[in-house]
Amino acid sequence: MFPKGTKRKFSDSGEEPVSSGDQVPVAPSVAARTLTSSYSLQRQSLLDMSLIKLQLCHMLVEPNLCRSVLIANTVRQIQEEMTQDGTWQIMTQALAAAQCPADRLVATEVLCRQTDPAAQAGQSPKPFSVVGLEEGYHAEEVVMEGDVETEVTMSTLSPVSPQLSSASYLAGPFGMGPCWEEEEEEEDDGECEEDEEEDSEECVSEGEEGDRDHLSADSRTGEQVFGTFEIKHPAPPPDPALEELFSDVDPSYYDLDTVLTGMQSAPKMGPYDLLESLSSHGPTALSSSSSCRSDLNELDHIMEIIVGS
Amino acid sequence: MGEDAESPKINHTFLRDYVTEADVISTVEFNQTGDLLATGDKGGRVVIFQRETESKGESEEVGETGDSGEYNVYSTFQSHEPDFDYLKSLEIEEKINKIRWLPQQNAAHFLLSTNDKTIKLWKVSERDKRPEGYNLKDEEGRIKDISTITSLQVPVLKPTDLMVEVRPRRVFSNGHTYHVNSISVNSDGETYLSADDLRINMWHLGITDRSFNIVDIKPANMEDLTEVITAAEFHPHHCHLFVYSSSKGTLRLCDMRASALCDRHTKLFEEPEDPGSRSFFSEIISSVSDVKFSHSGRYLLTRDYLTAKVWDLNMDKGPVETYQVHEYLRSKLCSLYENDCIFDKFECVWNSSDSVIMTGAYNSFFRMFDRETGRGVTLEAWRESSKPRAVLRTRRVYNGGKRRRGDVGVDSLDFTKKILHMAWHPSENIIAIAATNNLYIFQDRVNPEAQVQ
Repeated sequence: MFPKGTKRKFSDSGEEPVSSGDQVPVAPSVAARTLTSSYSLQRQSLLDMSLIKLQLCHMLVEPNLCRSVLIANTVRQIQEEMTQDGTWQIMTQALAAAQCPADRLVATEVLCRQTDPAAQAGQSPKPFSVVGLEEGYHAEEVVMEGDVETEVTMSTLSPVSPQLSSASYLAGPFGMGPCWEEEEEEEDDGECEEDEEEDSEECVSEGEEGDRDHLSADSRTGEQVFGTFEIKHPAPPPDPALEELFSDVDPSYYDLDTVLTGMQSAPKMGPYDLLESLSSHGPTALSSSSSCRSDLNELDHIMEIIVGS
Repeated sequence: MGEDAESPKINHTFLRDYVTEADVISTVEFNQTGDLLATGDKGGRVVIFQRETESKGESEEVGETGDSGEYNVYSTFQSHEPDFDYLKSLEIEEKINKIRWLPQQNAAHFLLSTNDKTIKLWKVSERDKRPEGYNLKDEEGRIKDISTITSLQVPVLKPTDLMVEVRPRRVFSNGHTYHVNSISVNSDGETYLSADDLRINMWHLGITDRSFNIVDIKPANMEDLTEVITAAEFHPHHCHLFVYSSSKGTLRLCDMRASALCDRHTKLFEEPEDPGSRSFFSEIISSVSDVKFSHSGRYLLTRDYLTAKVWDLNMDKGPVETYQVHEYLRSKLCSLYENDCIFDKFECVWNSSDSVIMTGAYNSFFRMFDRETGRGVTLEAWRESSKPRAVLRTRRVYNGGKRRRGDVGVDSLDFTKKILHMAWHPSENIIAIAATNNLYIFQDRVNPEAQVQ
């Protein structure tokens, strides 16, 4: 992407788009482009944080519905924005290609499931729904179909991409939608047991299924159902170029305050300040996959603790 | 002596700071006269305080009221117990979410208390006399030997030590699938409403096995759920009107005469969103945590995460007044989201003349805003920094600009010390502030009576 031997400075990155073919089609200014990369990192972190929050509600006391609804709305908002950016499909594709099912991608995979595949298709990338096993298959298809772009591109998905209202991805969280039941029937519990790393999720799901038996859809709250995402079959080896998009939820996302909240309004900090606060991530998504991987392992560990294995 | 020298010195200081979770106060409410103050806590207990009415005697000055203003414990009782929902395999917290007093009709006092699922009506009555002089029993209650009775006497009532009895009179159960967040007694004195996340029910105080559902925002498909009810209240004078607030920052005024099910609002109060300040947290911070009618019935006071707003019932396009409670938190929303503080539900209250509004914040701070001048003041409910009867000094949070001595920096705010619950005396300038497990009662000595406009 960069000419070999050239020391990469963020001030130079603005010159790249013209020469390199796989860059963002629109060549924004230096500041905007840098903002975009770091912004998407922060947005991803916020997404992960929100999903973890929704998972953590397997408590003794019935979780707070208002809080769950607000978090879910935030997740949906991010999802919509990412879909418009086109980063959403990249993530779903990479998810299918991800090697470690039990990493934090689990959380985002929830969002990648589609609902009823018979839902109207045709529109360009729309928010995905949570429920359904089919997504795993579709994502694989997409991966095989063509080159996967690392940058944001507006490629359309497989024809089965369902058109759903933005709210429908919550098929899981708030109710026993028909798709959820489908998934229950289709899935083989034995599948999950094979992979050790999935145990934690499996415990959760078993608990959920037990609950589900004697629960009316009425009284369910989002988290109880939302937490039962299963990991599908392991996928082919990950594409390193894709993995970097899932760069870790480093604890430094705590520094996000000024970045994230200042993001969409006129930021008080300039783009260079943003970079400084994200120095560990770097201005672009080109961090080495090895660092991503070690961070992913760390995340595995955290996820296991959170899910309570 | 030798033993004492050998025994290790035990440090008990940590006990002072240890707060029993069950003692955390979760609601505060004055009754209609202000003589009684009720608090509910997380352990399901209700403590009622009564105002002292001892006259000062010779030291009473001209113009000073007979009330010393002190509130002392009047009665304590266990209102709700922990419960278990077997259907969902979930515990039901005994935490008292709200207490509302009924208007007094006789010597006894009645209050409604609710946890997440069940509302209870309690009767609080005094007994300060007991009958003496029975013919068949002696003073200790033992049956007398009939042969010793030579004459008949009429038992008389003699004064005795004051006893306060609290008895449950009604239990309104099984009315709510979701968590009850509000109860409100109607001005008709016969009915009240209870609101949970998705439904509002109207009850008759005398009927416990039935309630009338007046609002239901549960979607047919729970997947479509994006908004919940956060608070509800009856109009203080019009028994057919009530308002409820939502997690999207809207208020809906409903008229029960229009239809049986008030899913269609009579008026929708919503402030148009400022596109310039939109962020991922915009919706969360717009969620209304409390709504209160003014005493006049003309205005509504709402609280969302960063502001308190006054709305005119006649104007639904937006609030007529907006007060910044802690704007300095706007740049911290991400960490407040991460530690869940962004979901804290602060209450707000009017003073008796509707000229001042008050709401809570963090670091044991609470804010008062004078509606006429628009100015706000920050006060602190923290025992370490104020002695009893000392004048409260105003506080300030430093967020850039000139720093004064005593200012608190934004980064040193204690977010675990939140002032969520409070109450204002119905006719005087006395306020009750709940700070975790402590109750603070403050009085305005300069202007004890509210200035009636």
